Amino acid sequence: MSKENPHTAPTLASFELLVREQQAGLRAYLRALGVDEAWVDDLAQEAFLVAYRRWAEFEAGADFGCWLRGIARHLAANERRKQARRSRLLPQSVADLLGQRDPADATAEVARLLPVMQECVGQLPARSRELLQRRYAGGENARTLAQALRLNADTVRQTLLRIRVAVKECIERKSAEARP
Amino acid sequence: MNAARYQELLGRLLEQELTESEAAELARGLTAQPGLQTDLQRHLVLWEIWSQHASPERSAEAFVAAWATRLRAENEGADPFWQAVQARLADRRRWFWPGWRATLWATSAVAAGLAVALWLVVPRAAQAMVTVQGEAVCTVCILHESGAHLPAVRVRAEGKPAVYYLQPTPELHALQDRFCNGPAPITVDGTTQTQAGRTTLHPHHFELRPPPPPPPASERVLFPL
Repeated sequence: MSKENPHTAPTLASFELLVREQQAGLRAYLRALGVDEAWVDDLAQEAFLVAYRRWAEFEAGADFGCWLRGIARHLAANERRKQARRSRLLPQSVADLLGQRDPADATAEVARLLPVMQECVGQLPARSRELLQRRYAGGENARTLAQALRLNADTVRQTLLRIRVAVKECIERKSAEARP
Repeated sequence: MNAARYQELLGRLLEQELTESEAAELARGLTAQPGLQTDLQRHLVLWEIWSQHASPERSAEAFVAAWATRLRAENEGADPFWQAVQARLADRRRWFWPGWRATLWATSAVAAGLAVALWLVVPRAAQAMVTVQGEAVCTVCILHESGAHLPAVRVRAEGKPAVYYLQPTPELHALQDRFCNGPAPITVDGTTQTQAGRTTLHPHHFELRPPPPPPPASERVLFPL
């Protein structure tokens, strides 16, 4: 798909295939650049719209994913330059720091990470899995979860972090084991 | 910054509760220990992937559909016919109404003011357009909740049901019978808002399809043994 003639506008169906192929990695890339959780999809959609409109600028044979990440990086940099009261990024000092690092390596293996992550989450105690489910599928943050569960928000936040750290360590362990 | 403090700030960042002063403290710690930057980026990537996987409104299908909706909306805005109609309407207004320019400026100023007010008031998560595909159900007839009969979308996330309560509109109200007689397949483009664990979906566009036909008589089990 990425080797289409740059002077031929892609059909909507063929571009949708590219969107489907690249969306997960691009969203993870934008998040690693310091884009706020609530705005990742919005900026990723914008990056795909720019890519669709500027298809003629894409060089035949080049890496589409790399070109797309360049557009996304440019959009994130624009956000950093904005002095708007409400930005689509994490707090400025952290976003500035993350924006200086190209997270291409961190997002290169998105497709491989999910099954490993599912395995690691599957090994968690049922209550921990339930908490993760409510946090990510239900869209509830630590504060709203604490209200619903009649717990202290700090307790919920710390529990969530312990779960996240355990899952991350599990993934790193499994990745190390898988290396030849 | 010691490990415990980093963990505390990381937890607050991942829960979108980091204040500006805490962010500055975290940034100083990340600058002093570049290894922590790698750790932070890894967490951001991992939990972004998990969010896409666990949340139906962030699935690959929903993302592609929402992108196609945005593209369609952009193209409709650029439609030459639509622009020609707008131009002709503007000509007519200019002909019949000499004070049109001042009124237009005043209207624009009011609209801009309202937009800014909305921008400040509406929660951040409510801004992004999402596409939700699931079953059209009624909160009372199908979900057996108490209160008024309201339209909702039931989806399955990680094998568990999740419910999006649709913000009632006259169009949805007219179709309430179909939600009561559901479940029927539905696709909704709109924006979501979660409060106290209840997710409301504000529909911009929806497509309600007829329910699938019942299986042939030969496949029905009338008296299971």
